[in-house]
Amino acid sequence: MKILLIRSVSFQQVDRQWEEWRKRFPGAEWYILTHAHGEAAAGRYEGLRRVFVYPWKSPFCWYRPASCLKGESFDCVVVPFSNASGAGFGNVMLFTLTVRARRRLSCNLSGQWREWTCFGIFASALVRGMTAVAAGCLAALAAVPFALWWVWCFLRGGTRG
Amino acid sequence: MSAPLVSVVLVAWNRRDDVRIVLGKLRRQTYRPIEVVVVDNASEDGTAELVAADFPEVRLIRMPRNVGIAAYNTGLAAASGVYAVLLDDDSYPAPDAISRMVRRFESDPSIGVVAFDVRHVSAEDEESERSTSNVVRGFAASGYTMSFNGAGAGVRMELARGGDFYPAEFFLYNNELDAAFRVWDAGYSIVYDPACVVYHRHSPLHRDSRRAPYYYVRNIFWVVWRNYPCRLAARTTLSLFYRCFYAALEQRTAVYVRAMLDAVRGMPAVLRARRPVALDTVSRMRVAYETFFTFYR
Repeated sequence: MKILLIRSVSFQQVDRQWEEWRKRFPGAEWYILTHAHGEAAAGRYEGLRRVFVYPWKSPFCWYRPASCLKGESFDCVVVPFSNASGAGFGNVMLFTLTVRARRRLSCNLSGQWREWTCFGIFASALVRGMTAVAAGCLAALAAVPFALWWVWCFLRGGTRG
Repeated sequence: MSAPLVSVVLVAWNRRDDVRIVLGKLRRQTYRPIEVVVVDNASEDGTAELVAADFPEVRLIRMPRNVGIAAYNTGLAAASGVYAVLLDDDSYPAPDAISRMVRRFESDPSIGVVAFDVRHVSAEDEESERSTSNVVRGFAASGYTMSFNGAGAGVRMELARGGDFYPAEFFLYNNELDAAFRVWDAGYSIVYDPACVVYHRHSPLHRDSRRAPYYYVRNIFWVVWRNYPCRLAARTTLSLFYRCFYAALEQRTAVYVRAMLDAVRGMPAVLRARRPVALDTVSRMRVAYETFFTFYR
């Protein structure tokens, strides 16, 4: 069984959960996808077959697929969450759709697993899209008083530009 | 030529048992000479008394109140080493980590900070700490630059003697990122060296989770306002506003909005301390803004 772990959390969290993940899938071949700065650190895990390097500086994102995974397929993609709810990791779940895999799983900080369907990932993206519109409106409203406050602080404080 | 003195600076707050273990582990360091400076942030559990009684070789500084990460500045100002090692009160270096760090610094005078490989260990893992790797590479090789983890980092002291290595008003979190901008902008580099290992104990007293969302978010605003060139600061601020509202709605918590408002409230003082770095320094640094909005549990 080939499993791809998308390294979406700190290495300290991977340290904490790595053995637990391996026990859940005995005999599986593990692969990690990480950003370039994590390549050397990712190589230390026991039982790891290969480290793939995400070729972008920015976060995992569906419109920036990993060229290093071209031609690769996996039985399972695992996305760890650094919290209980998975809030903030929707972009990573959407990114998993660019990877050829039969199953998509998430594991939160407490070790709770959840299997995601493609429909579930899209539905969650839709909800996040609506939240994004509301947040954008609020940010635009907040920007006006903030801009005045910024100018006032500059004029008053003599700060450097 | 004699080996350069290394100062280990550790800030402690109410973690007596962890501090006892960490200081015991520091005695196993193969590198000499080292001095250990413990800055106690007004602990109420007898941490300072333990250090004074059981570790007479340690230089103890008692703060009158908990000043957060500003205590590192006090420790660094008191340190007399050529290099410093910054540790949390629940992290300790592998026995050979400091000698490896010194070799790294001595090999390249442009290195300002050596970022250690900070590994999580639970109490039962400690006797079987995993072996260190010999792979060495810098972040710069990956095409972008990075900050470092303050739970284990080596610092060239000429960057830290001024007493303002970390911004005191931050109290907790994102102080390393602010320092990283200054280090890169001063023409030094930050290299990650996985051969320099620090073990971070899984303490039952982990206190991060409740305070992290607030401090990470408030302080990222301040990092931006202190360091980013004006236009980029304005653009990034708008994007952070959006992220605050988005995370507040998605996670149904007011903590991000509160952090944002407190950041704005503190803006006059932050702007007075503003020292914008070169645009190129900001462009090359990888700042994972999205991460700061994932700590609410």
